[in-house]
Amino acid sequence: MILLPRGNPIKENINSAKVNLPDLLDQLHKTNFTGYVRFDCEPGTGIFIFQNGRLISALFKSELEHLIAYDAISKIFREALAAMGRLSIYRLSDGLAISIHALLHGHLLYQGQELALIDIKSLLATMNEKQRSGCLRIYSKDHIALIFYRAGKPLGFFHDGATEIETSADSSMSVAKEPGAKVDVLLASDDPDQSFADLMETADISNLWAKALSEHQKERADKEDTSRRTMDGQEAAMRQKIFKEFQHQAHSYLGNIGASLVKKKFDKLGLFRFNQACFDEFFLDLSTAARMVAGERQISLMLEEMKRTVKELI
Amino acid sequence: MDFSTAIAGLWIIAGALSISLFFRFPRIWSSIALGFILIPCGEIILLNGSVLPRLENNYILTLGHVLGMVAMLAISSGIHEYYIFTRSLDCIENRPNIVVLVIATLLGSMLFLVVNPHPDEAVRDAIRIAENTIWICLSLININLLRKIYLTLKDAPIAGAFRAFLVLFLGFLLWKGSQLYMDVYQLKQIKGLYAMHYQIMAWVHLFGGVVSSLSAVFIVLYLKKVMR
Repeated sequence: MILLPRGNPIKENINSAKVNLPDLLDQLHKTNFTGYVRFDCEPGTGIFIFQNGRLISALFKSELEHLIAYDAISKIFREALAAMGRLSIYRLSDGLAISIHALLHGHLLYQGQELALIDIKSLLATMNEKQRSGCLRIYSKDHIALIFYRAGKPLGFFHDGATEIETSADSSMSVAKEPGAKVDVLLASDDPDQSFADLMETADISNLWAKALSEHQKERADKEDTSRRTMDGQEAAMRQKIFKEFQHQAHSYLGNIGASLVKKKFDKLGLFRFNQACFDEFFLDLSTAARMVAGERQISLMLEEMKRTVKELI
Repeated sequence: MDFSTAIAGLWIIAGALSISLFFRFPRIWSSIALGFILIPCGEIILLNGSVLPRLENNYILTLGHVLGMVAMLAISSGIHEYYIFTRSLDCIENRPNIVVLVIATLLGSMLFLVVNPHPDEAVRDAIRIAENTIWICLSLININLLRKIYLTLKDAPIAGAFRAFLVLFLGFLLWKGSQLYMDVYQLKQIKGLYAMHYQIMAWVHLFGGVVSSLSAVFIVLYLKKVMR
């Protein structure tokens, strides 16, 4: 789970199955979008950060993986195709987008510290003393706020709904007062003034999407094939069970020829599916043939027993 | 009333009971039932003078033998059909086909009699020999088929009927075989010289007739009971 304030929402919680991701990225590219696209799915969370239409960062994080750039793009594409995910798009200012990028690619110094249990003043003093760049992420169950630092000096605050780094601490610090609030300390690893490559220029997005699509189709085909084989196997086992039961019952009413008649009629039906029409046809055929060797009463008893077996087994 | 009349009486009972066998039972029994109905028809004609008034018309008397031949062919057709069923488990014959085939054979045989010279005693004897030969040959073939059918159906509800069919055809062998023997050696003409041969064959003939007619009655009654 990547904890980020929501910024200024453009779209939230769109079903990813209804979105063509390359088209979305292309549209954001063409409209000089600045902000981030968040993709939440069961295995993890993916983030695309745009600055003036340039895709400056892609990240995918799950419990097992931490992928960036092309690997992250491929992964997000695959997950978007494979599972029901939710997409959200948030607009940010240029500076905030860069800061978010630095934050996401930095490293965690402290994580999940209960605010009620730590000396926040001492923590801030340490940030200042050691001239750290990065941010403090303060979060509760419902809200997130970021306090950015550069060289030990606080730059400003970012909270849900904001598009700029703000100087007012009110909204951000109110999160700290919420019950169960926690704090993470993240250190930025990049120079915030550095320029970033546009991943949409360097990566062949269409090709990555096509590859993900092909892998997804192959996986789906494999799954369907496995599922079909499992179903076929189960059906074959059930068919065999019903066949043996019918043979046993026919043998007890009609003797050996009864068992042979059941086999003949089963074979005649070929791919025997378990539907009422198939059973009706089978019973009709069997009773016609059975009349050659037994009376109506015995045949009726045999068919009743067979019908009971079908009810019990299916 | 002699034994021949008793035999004919039993066949009439079997024939009458077979009418419902023909209409109500699976079509595979149709030709056998038809055969059982035709046998008493032939037997009544051949009881010339015993029950019905004596006929002098050789065409009608010869027709008695023809009916017997067609009856045996119909019964054999049924047995063959049943044998095929036990092997393929399919029943392909249908009732109208059987009826049409039997009527066509009867009409063909009658046409054969009409277009040829008037049948005298010698011709009747020759046709009777042909009839009895057909009965013997088909009985031997049918006994073999019935043995195979019985081995397949020995644990089926209907198995008892096939045991009775075996007795029926053994009865036919004795009934028609003894008649054939007497006709071939013309024992009736030389019974003074071969009294014992003639007497034994006469008894075998009656015994075979009783056994076969009783078996036929039993088969029809048994089938009616089992196929209920």
